[in-house]
Amino acid sequence: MLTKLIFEFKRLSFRSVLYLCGATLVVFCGIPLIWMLFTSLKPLEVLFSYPPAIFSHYTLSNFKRLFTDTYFLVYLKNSIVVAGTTVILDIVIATFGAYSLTRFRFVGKELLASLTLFTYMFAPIMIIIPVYVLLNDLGLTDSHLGIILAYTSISLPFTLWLLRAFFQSFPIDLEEAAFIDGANRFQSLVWVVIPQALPGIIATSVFAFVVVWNDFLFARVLLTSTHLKTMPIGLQDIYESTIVDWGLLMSAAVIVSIPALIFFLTIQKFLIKGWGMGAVKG
Amino acid sequence: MKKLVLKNISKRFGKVVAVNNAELEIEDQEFIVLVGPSGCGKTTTLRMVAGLETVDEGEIYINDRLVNHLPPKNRDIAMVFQNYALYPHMNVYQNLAFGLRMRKIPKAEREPKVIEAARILGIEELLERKPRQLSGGQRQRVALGRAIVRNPEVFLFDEPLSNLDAKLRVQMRTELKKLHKRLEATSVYVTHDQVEAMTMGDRIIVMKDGTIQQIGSPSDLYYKPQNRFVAGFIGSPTMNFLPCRILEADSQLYIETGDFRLPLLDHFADKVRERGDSKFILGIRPEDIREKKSVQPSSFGGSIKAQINVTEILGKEVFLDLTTGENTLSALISAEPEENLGQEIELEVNLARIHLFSADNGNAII
Repeated sequence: MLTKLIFEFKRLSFRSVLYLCGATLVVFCGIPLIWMLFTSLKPLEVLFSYPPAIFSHYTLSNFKRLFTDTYFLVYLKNSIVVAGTTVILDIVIATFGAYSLTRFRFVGKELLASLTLFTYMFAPIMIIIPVYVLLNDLGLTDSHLGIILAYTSISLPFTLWLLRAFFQSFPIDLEEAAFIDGANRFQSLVWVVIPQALPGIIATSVFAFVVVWNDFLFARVLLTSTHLKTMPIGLQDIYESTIVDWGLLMSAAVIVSIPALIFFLTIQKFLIKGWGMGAVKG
Repeated sequence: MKKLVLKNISKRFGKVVAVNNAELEIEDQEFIVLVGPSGCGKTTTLRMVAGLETVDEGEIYINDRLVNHLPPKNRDIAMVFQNYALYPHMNVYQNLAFGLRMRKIPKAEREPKVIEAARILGIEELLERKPRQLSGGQRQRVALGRAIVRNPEVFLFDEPLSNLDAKLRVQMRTELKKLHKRLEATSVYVTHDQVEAMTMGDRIIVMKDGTIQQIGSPSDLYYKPQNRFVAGFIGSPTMNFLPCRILEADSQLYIETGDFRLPLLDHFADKVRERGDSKFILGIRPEDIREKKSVQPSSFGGSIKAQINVTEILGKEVFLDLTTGENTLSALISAEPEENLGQEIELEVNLARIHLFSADNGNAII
């Protein structure tokens, strides 16, 4: 009886500690976000009042000003176009690349696979100048095409590596069954391999999306025209052009967070499945 | 008509020779079983026929058409895989229809074919389910259904029953055989299980280390194995092998193992005399040994005195593990012996069924 009680006590205390840690983590990460939301909904005058007016003075004026007085919508659209195109391009290339790295026999295959990851080890700041020079020679600086190509090249090594792990864990029998059933290699890839690798592909696309969506450095160096700028540098411009208009800035930050939030919530199911798969078998 | 012909095909993986100069002709509607231990090249042979492996040397013909360089989809074959290889994201109907869809068969024609295949295999009520919602036996049926729905020239089976439990395996074995009769399809079946091979094959091909050892009907392999490997591989419990010499006394030849002596029947004696050797390997199947006290007149003879180590009652028969001097021997006798463990028992051998193999190369002499 006593041992049972002790066991139960230990179990409960372990759980309590676990939940406490979890809760601390949530609060720690959540407070800045909640504060961001609060700030975005308050007029400038009450932002710094003490004690803070938590339950009153709510307004959407910051958002209204954001849409009417700044280029925010342009930045948002640019970010979506650039991130979306990069993810699509990245995933298409990485899917075919990873497939060929796992399914075809050719000389130097392993070396090639290792080298792709090796390129990922250079910090972005190290490659930004060469990338700039290269794009400048091609006449692609200050263009969406240029920055999309730059983003694709920096995220591709890692996405290729991730997808390679997924394809390696994929049973080859299924593809062979498809060949026997009358599919050619491309058909077996489209009808059998990709649907199976979807969790992996989605997890990888999230990675690529996050890298691109948040990037500041490449956008700052490669984009100069206002109508081409993406959100991270656009936000900085808002910051610079106002006398630290926190309300405006925070409302922009809220909107920046929304696409990422929606993206993560929708693909969460696949993401966990994909990560699990990679962890066990990759 | 020859449905499938393999002409001197070979396959190497690096320095390993997986299949060495295999030659084979399979008749229309025949059920051929490729059997052998792991790594003997049976699966590689099947995969070369399927087009999943390239052929290093030799030619493969399906319906008199050279297929060496044709991709699997153009060979008109169907294959059932060991692990079923059902597409997990498709339901049973989609799995069955996939082959037809890839061959651009219109939807209206697909449906009756899928339904018919499902009906033959008794899986009509499972059509909406995903593979993960099926039991092993049901998955096996779907895998079979995917093969039969296309009505191919040749069916290839790669150890299709090895993932099933023992009882289901026996049941599916019978069903497969019935299905073969019904569809009259030419089939090549790979297994490492000699019981499966013996019960299912019209003809059996025994392979070892990439080389075909013998091709023949189940009874050929059982009663007339061409070498020691085939003799040992086919039959359960395994044949007893004992080193022996041939002695002659009073113009009668005897097989002398050191522990016992068996007279050699006259029609065998000539073959042994032709050889001129005196050292051989004697092969006796456990079921060709019986207790000396059995009185029915027969071709049994000789006398072996052996000590009983283990007795296993199998139901109708009793398995004995015995020691005769330096050798161990196994025997299948019809009734439990009166002698206890450790005691000596007197046995005799069916002299018409003994086998002699060359001590040098293991080839059968009688």
